[in-house]
Amino acid sequence: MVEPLVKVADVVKVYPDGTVALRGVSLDIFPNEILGLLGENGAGKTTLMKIVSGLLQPTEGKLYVYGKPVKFSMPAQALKMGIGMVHQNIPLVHNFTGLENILLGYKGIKRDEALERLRDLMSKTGLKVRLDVPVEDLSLGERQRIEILKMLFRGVKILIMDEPTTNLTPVETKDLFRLLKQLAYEGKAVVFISHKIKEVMEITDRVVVLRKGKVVGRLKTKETTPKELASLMVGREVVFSYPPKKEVPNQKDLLVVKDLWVTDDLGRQAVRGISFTLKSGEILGVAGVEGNGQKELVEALTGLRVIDKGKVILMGEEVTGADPGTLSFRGLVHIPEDRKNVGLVLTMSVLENVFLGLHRYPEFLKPGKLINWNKVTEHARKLIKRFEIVVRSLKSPAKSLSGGNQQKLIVARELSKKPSVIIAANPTRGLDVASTQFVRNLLINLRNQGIGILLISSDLDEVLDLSDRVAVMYEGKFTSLKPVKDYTLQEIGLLMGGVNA
Amino acid sequence: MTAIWDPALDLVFMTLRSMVPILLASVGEVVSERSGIVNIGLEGILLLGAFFAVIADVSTGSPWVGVLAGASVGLLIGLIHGVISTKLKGNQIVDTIGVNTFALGVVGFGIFAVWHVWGARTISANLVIQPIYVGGRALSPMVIIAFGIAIFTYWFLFKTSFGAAIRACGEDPDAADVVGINVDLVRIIATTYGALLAGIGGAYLSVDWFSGITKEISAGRGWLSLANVAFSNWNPLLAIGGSLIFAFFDALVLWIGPMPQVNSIIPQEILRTVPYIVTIIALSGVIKKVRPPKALGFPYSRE
Amino acid sequence: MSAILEVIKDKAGPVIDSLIALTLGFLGGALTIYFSGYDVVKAMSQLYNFSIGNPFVNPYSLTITLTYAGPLMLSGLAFALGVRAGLFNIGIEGQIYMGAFGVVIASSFAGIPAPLEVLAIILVGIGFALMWSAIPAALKVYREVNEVVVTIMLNYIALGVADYTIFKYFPNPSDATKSIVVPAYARIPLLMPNTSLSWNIVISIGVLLVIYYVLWYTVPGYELRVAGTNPNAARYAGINPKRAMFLSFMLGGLLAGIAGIEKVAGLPPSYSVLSTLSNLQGLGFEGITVSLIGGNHPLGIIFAAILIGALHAGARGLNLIGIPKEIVWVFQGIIVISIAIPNLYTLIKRKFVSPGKEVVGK
Repeated sequence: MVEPLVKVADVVKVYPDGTVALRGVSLDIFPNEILGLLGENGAGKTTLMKIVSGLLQPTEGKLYVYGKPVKFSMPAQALKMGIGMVHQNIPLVHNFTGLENILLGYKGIKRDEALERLRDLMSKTGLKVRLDVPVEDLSLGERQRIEILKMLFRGVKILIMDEPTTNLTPVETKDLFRLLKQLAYEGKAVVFISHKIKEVMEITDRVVVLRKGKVVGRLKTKETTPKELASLMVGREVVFSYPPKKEVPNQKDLLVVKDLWVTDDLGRQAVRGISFTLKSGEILGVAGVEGNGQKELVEALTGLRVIDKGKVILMGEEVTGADPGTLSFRGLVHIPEDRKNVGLVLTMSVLENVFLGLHRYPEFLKPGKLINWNKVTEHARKLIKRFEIVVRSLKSPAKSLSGGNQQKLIVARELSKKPSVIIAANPTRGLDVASTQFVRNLLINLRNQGIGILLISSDLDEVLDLSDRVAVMYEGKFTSLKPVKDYTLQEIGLLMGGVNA
Repeated sequence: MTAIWDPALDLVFMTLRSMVPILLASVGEVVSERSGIVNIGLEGILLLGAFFAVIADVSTGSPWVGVLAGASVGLLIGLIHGVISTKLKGNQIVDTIGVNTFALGVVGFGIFAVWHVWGARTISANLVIQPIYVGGRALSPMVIIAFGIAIFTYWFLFKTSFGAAIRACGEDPDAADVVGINVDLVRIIATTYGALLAGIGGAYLSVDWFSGITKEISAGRGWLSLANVAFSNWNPLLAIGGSLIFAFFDALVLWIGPMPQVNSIIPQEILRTVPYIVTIIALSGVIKKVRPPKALGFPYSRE
Repeated sequence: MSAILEVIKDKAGPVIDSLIALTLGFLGGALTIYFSGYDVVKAMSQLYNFSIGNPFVNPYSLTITLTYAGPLMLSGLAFALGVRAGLFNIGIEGQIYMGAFGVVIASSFAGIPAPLEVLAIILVGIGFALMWSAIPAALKVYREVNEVVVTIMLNYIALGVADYTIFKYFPNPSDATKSIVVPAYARIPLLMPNTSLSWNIVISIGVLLVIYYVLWYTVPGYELRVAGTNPNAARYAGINPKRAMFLSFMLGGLLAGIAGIEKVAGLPPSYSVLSTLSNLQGLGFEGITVSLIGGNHPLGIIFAAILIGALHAGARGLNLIGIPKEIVWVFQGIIVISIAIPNLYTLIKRKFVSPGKEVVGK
């Protein structure tokens, strides 16, 4: 029997804010093996591996490396013992070159010697990177390769990859998989964190499935099927049941977008010529792997980002380039993806957050730009009651609310603007089951009332369950747009991966 | 040398003399800010350095002990500031505003409390750092030391692994953390080094340049140094150039002081403001875009 | 009063932190006095007698305290407005210089009818201060230049410009150490005869209450606070954070201008600007202390300004027994350094009250 390199025993992790991320997880990591760590968003995969790599400390439980109990207080200690983690947000110093990054914090080596060793390593592993360019000028794929090279240079025996394919092109993904297999073959242990069943099936030897902080399955990849993994991962005991979708008569074109072009923060074309029409009484879902321009599309449509080219027409009137305030007056509201940093001002009171955006609506004002706090209070009470938002008091800060109640607060507030069009970005991300159900039901009911909803979500189930029509977004374009029933799951999967079915 | 050159050479030597405190304080602050920690208490550290240098100088009879005392005061304040800005997650600007106020108090109060004189305490010539002579003109050895420190600082900031660690902490502390750099510790060290240099600069003011202490001895040089950090684009070598330019104006004010005919055309009050105006223009990006370290001013915490 | 109670209830933590910082400041100041060989008990009683004394028998000491407190409230509030909008505006000092400069210029119009003269003082004083705060505002809004360094630079430029121009063009013919004086008929009247206490204090408290109302009961004030706390949320809600910043800078300039007017037109006996602006220096910087002690809140600032005013008033008493008045800066410096440390109370509790035991959150 091979000894595990790393042994995780009954680890519990409770975050300072009270969130329980892990509820007693045990796990072995063996050499010569690629271990898949599968689970949905929030299952605890990343938290678990951050504990293994020293970035977080477990609340309870033990960690053994090479059979010895260890307590890491920082990632460097884990790195020293040969455990390296390649994070989703690759932590490289942006204005340092690849070489400087690799040598950062590494003692006792001459530059030339290091360069030689790196060249050697690159030719052995097939990792191709430019070492003399500041990493901010490199693609995300190349940065990831530098990070892997950095880990290998430091002699890691256990390489943890957190959702490594998110920002990779298909070719890069193929190369990465080949490399990971080679590393495992050479005796290293690879941990592959993913929520993509297909990739886990393709590359891993063994799979551990996590759900809500618990291990719900330990399987040999060869002996399992995608279907089995899927049902373990999502745990279909929570089957969402939705209110029926009604036929909405006299559908009108609410939002017409023509040939929209938008650049991202780095000046790249993130949205490249998107056109669509959103009708009343429909949910138009936008599916796609994150980072394909969804964020920029949402920001452009909601007035938060400059539109380079194209037209946006809201209920017959052109609103291209209008600011968020004007758009909400005209009936377009936005449920933002980042509720803590965008949708709310966490340190301000619930009452003041209810007022956010409504502060331009005359019914809450008195002459001379004075605020009618009595009216706002009354309104807030109404919303809290109607949406069953749990708050201690109107005066308590928004950060004291749970995630679900924060989201309800935002949704309630936006709906009180009586919109015709709702743009909802990942509206249930990070919410518990009950809140998720609540929000989704609400969206369907709103659709039934004739509101048009553009639903941008990285949760494919959400898109498929709620939408009337679905667009797949890939590299800034809608590669497909048709009624949801006309898709097969496989077809969507392929489209999301950039393959035209 | 003809007589025409004499006043010009005077100006050169005066510029060098004015340069020392600005160069020391700004080079130190470059290191501090490169690690991600801003210290707007330079003015106060100059003042405290100058004050304690005189105390040490007078009680031991050696100006170099005075310099040591100035350095120690800087070190202590840097250490406190470093800990507040990292471990305690304090507000870096607020605490150093406090340092400035504190220094005004200690020095204003201390000059009287220690020597029972109001406002100023001079020291005798033998307690002043002895100059070396270059072409018959007196030059403080501190000028050479300051140049040396600036060049050394450039070297260790850009050519050594510890320097890389400092810069990484100021740009991407996460990246530094994962490779085992103790971000807080590096920042504390960098900040302490920075404040220590300012402390030496303060000592220079009292035990060298002005042969004594007044409660206004720093006279805005700390603020000039702060300006120079941005003006020099956070680079110790460029900071030499910046310090020379700023010092030139400082010297010019003194140089034309005894020339009433010039003074009436270009008043010295206005002349003094030139470095500040120049810095604002530089920061406005009219000439070039300067880029501060990305993580400047933010305490680091994992996650 | 309920508003005050609410604030205190809501901000119990910060209030306790402020109190701890004050304690540390007084402790540090007292120790400095003690170790310098002075009689610390005597010093403290002087500090008390010259700032408060027995106001029912003789309110004189208290009037001095309030005299200092008036302009401090404004400079403190000016800084606080910056903080509320997410800015670190250290330029109040220079704006006060410019405001005072404006008052001196307006004083040179002496001879025009009284109402016009008063109007001129107000307009030119505030106008000059606004002009000076418009510079960092524009640089921040249009070129995204960090306001900290720019405002520091502008303070020094203002010092040079105002000092030079005032004493070159508006010197007092009978006293070389000061500028021309504000004409007697255009001065802010005294509140109590035979004291230095003028209507300054009433004006300041009035302005504070107005700003408090603006911040919490009007849309622009709300927008300013949202933008300062979370610019992303502001943009999302259709608020332009830059406009809020600009507003904050301008309100700050307005307050600095009023502070300058109070300092020159409302403060006996000089009613002028002294050479090197010595009667103005430090007011803007002390505003930072005041604002921080007061939790950047208008109501807190009233108390904080009175406290710092008391320190200055008390320092006169220290001077009498041979303790340099600069000692108040030692108090203030330690207070500000302590305030920079967040959650001071929790920290002290953890370190000293229950050593060895870790405080575990719920």
